[in-house]
Amino acid sequence: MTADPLTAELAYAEARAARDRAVRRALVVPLRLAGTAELGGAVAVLLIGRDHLASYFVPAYVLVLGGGAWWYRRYARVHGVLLPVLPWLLILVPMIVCAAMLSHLGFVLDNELVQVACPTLTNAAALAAVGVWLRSRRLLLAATAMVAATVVAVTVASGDRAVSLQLFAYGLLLWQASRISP
Amino acid sequence: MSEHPIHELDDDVHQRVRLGILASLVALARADFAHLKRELSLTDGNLGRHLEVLEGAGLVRLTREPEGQRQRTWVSITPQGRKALKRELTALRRIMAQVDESEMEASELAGG
Repeated sequence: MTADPLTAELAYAEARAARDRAVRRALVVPLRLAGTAELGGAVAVLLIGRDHLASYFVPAYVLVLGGGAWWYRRYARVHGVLLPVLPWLLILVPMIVCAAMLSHLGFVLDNELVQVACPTLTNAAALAAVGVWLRSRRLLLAATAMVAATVVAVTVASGDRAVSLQLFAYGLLLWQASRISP
Repeated sequence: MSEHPIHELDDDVHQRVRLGILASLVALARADFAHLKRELSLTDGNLGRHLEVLEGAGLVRLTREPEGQRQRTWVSITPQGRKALKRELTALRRIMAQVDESEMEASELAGG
């Protein structure tokens, strides 16, 4: 039995909605791990300075990826759905590389705004990419709120404190965004 | 004159359940038999038959892995399956675009 085009479209839309729900449920823990890494970064930057932040974030994101992959495996065992890890790598690796390059650029140009705002904004860009990948309005809103948080942070603070404020806000936004909803 | 988009519909893909299976799998690395059965509200036999058709057409891959005392069947979409689903959706959208809403309303009025 084949379906008429309208029925087929509806069947496709229903199946896609169910799949998106499963993907969002599986995403809760990786988002919270990323949020925790950002909150840790807010403290780390005050201790080691923004110029050495890569030495915190590279191992932190390796742990986020490892923890996320472990959670995906566990989720698959329990719920029967295994999500791909590759899109995370495609988003996180360029994000870390871009953040490091922008930080270096700010140092070379001796421009504090570039040094303080641009590396963190790569987080917002990465979250927006995840939002587009998963068609999640909540993640896109969180990414927009991250940009707003950066504007506020560089207005009310400077240097490492401004970076710390941004990372703190990003961490909270990631935790908030991890709630299951479109 | 270009060919009508109905000729682009693939019978292996177009069937309601098989379209649902492919749509469920497209963003996933893989899903198990029980998940698909639950999400698509199907019986074991029904899902099994449709998976056989899709596997035969090279659109999905079935792998069986031992888990405790039983075997768990995992299903993943193949690159060929992704292409077939994309072609199907393009054809469906072309068909839907040809249905003008105002024409539908006019035909309903004419039909009483």
